[in-house]
Amino acid sequence: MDTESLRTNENCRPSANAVFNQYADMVYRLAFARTGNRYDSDDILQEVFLRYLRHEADMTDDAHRKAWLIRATINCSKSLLGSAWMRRTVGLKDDLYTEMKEHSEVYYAVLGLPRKYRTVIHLYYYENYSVAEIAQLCSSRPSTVKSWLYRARRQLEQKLKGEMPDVSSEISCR
Amino acid sequence: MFRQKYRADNEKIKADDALKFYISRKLENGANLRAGVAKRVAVRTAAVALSLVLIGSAVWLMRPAKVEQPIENVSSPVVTQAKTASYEELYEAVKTMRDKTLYNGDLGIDTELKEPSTGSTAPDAQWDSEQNRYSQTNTQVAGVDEADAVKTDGEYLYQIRVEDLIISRLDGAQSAQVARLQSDFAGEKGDYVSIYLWGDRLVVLRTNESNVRRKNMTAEDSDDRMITGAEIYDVSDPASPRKITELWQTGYYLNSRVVDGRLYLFTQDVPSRNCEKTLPETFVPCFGETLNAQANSEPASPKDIRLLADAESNCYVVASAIDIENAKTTSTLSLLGWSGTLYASKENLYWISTDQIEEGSALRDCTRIMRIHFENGILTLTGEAEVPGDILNQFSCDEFEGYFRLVTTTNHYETVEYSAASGPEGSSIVTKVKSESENNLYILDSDLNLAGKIEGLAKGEQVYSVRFLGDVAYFVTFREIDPLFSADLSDPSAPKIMGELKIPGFSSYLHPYSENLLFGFGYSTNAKGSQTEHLKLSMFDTSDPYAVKESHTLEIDATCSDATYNHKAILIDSTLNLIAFPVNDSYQIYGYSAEDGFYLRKEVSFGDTWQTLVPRSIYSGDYFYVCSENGLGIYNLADLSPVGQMEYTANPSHE
Repeated sequence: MDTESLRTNENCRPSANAVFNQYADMVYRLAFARTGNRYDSDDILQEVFLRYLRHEADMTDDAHRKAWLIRATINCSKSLLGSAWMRRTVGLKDDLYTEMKEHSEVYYAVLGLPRKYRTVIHLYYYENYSVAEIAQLCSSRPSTVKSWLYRARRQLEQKLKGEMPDVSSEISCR
Repeated sequence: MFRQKYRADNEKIKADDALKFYISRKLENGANLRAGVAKRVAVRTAAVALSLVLIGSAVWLMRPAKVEQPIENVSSPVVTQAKTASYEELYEAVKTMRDKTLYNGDLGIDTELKEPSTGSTAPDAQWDSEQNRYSQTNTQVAGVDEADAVKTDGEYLYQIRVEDLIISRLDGAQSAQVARLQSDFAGEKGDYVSIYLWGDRLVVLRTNESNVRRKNMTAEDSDDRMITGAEIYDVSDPASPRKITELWQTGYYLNSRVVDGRLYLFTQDVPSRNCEKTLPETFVPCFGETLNAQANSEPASPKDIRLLADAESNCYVVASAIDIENAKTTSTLSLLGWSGTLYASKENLYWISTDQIEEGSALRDCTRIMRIHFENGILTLTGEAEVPGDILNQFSCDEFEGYFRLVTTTNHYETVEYSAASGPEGSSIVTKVKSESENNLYILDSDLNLAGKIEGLAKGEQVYSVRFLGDVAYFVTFREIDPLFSADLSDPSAPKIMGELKIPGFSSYLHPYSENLLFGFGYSTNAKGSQTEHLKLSMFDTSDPYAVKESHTLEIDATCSDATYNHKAILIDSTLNLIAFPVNDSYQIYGYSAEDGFYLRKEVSFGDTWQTLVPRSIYSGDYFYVCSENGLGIYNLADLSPVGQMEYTANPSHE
C-alpha cells in the first residue's frame, strides 16, 4: 500500500478503511504476540479500529497514526486480559499450531515470556523500533525498556540455547 | 537469525480475511461498532486463507562470533600475549579496529557477565549484632561478594530501583522506610546498577552518560562518555546516609566483586568515534573522582594498559581496584581488544574469552584464559592458558587448591547455505552450522599448565549447567535428554567420570542443597527435546556420586524465571526450607521434604504491573521479606503467614 493511495479524500487524510488495510496485520500481529490466541486478537483488531474511527481527526501524519494504533493495541490488550487470562500455556500450543500450521520454536519461545517482554521483543524485532521509540509507545523510560529487552533476550537465550546467534550476541557483545 | 525467524513467523499470522472484510465494511460505512462488545464474528470460517510459507527445517546452530585476544604483558615473564604499548600504538590500534568492526556499542544494556566458582560455597546466612540470622546474596564463593539489587545487614535493607535507592529498617510489621537516595543524573541518562554493603559503607554502582572534562582543559574541551561510577556512602546512621565520594571509570558496567574491603570494578569501554592522536583521553579509558559535581578525568597511563597482539574487538575491558574504607582507587588495568567473561576467586580474576579459529575451511572453538592476580589492591597479570572449546558461564570454571578447572564444549562446524523464507529480503545466506559437539573437562595447575583432562564426553550435546564442589564436579549436558555427570577431581592428573544420570529436560543452575542433595533449576522439554516447556525443580541424591539419583522433581506452572540465568535471583536455604525465585508475574517460595519432595509454600502475585525490577527476597530474624519495587511484603519466617506490607513512599520514577 503506497502512501499515494492513502490520500483519498478531499481533506488529504486517508480514509479509515485505507488505514485499516495498511495496518490491520500490524495490529493483529502485535495483539497475537501479546495474547497468544486468535479470539482475543480478533476482538482487539475490531476494538482498536473502532477507537480509531473516533480519533481519526486527531492524527497528524502517518507516523503518528501508526504509533497511535500500536499504543491502542497495547492498551486494548491490557484491559481485555486483566487478571482473567492467567495461564499462558493453556490452549497456547493448539492455537499457535493452528495459526502457523507448523511447529515454530521461535514464536513458541517468545510466547513463553511474560507479556511485557513479548511486547518489546515484538516491537524491536518485528516492527524495528528503537529503544527510545518503544519507550514512548509503552509510556515507559528507555532504561525500563532496555532492562525488559535484556531480560527477554536472556530468557530467549535459555530457551533457544545457542541457536539464535543474534539474540546471544546482542547480549554478550555490545 | 532470531530476527529473521521471528519475522518469518509473524508473516504467517494474519487476521481472517472474512473478519477483515467485515471490519472494513463497517469502517467504510462509519458505522458505530458497539464499544466493549467484542462480538466474535460469526462469519469467520475454519478454512482461513493464510498465506503459509514453510520455513525450512534447518535449525540455526551458528554460534555468535566472539572475538577474543591474547594478552602480552612484558612486565610478567609468564604472560606473553599482552603487551604494553605507547599512546601512538594504542591510537593506531583503535583506529584500525574501529574501521573494520561492526561493533555495536550503543545498546547500553548491562551485561553482567558471570564468573567461576572457586569450590567452596558461600555461607547461607549471616548473623548480625543481635544474633539475628539473616540472608545474604546467593554468591558462588565464600568471601567473594557479588553485587545485587538488594543488600541487608539484618537490621537494614538497601534496595535500588532504577533512579533511587530506598533504605528500610527491618522489624517485622514495624518495618519502615528510613531514607531515600535519589540519583543526580537528570532525565534518562543513567541507571543505578547494583550495590554492595561493606561495614559502614554502602557502595552504589551506576552507569550514566556524562560530560567528561579532559585533563587540564576547560569545560568546553569535554566529551560525552558513558561512565560507571562507584558512589561510596557512610551509612553508620542509615537514616542519614552521607556521600563520601564517587570514583568513576569510562565504560558500561560489566561486573564487579568485593573481597576483603576492596571493590574490583569492571567496565567495557568503547573509544569514541572522534579519536584524536594527540589526546589520549579520546582513545583510552579515563578515570576520575567526582566531588561537588565536577568531573575531571585522567586517562589511563600506558603502563596500565595492555594491547592484544591480534586485537579485533574495538573495546577495552577496564578493571580498577578500589579501597572502600579509604575511598580511593589503588590500581587499574585496561585490556584492549578483548570481549569475554570474567571470573573471580578470593585471589585471582580470570579474564576468559572464547573464539573460533579458522583452520582452512574448518572452524574450531578455543577458550583463552588470562589470570589477573589481586593482592593489597594491586592488579597484575600472572598467567595465561588456552584450551579447546567454549565455556557456558561463570559456573563452568573453578579455582580450588591452586588448580583451575573448567568444563567446555567443543563444536565442529560445517558450511551450509540457507535460503531465507518469505521476508522482504528473500536472500540466501552461507554460514557455518554446528554439526557435532563434545564436552571436556580440563584441570590446570597453578602455572596454568594442563595437569589433567577428560575429553569427548556426551557427543552431540552441550553443557547446560556446571557446579564444582571441591573434589567433585557436577555438570549437565543436553540435547534431547539431560545427563547429569559427576566427575572425580581428587587426582588432578587423572580426573574421572563417576556417573551419568539421564533425565528429561535440563537444569540451568545447580546448587548444593545439603550434604547429599544437589538442587537443579531448569526446564522441562517436549518429547523431542527441541523446546522448553515449563520450569522444573529437581533434587538429586548425591550420597553416592557414582550413582546419582533424581530423588524428586516438580514441574511448575510457569515458563520463565530470571533465576535460570542469574543465580542471584534465587534464595535457597535448606535449614529454613526455602527455595524462592521469581517467575513470569509472581514470586514463588517452595519447600522440600525428603518424603514428599517439592511443594509450593507461598506465591506472591504482582498482577499486571509493569515491574522493571525483578523481586528479591531476604530473611532476617523472624521474618521473611519479599522486596519489589513498590515495597516489602512481610511474612513470618516460620510459616510464611502474612504479617503486613510496607510501601515505599515514593513511586518508582518510571511507569
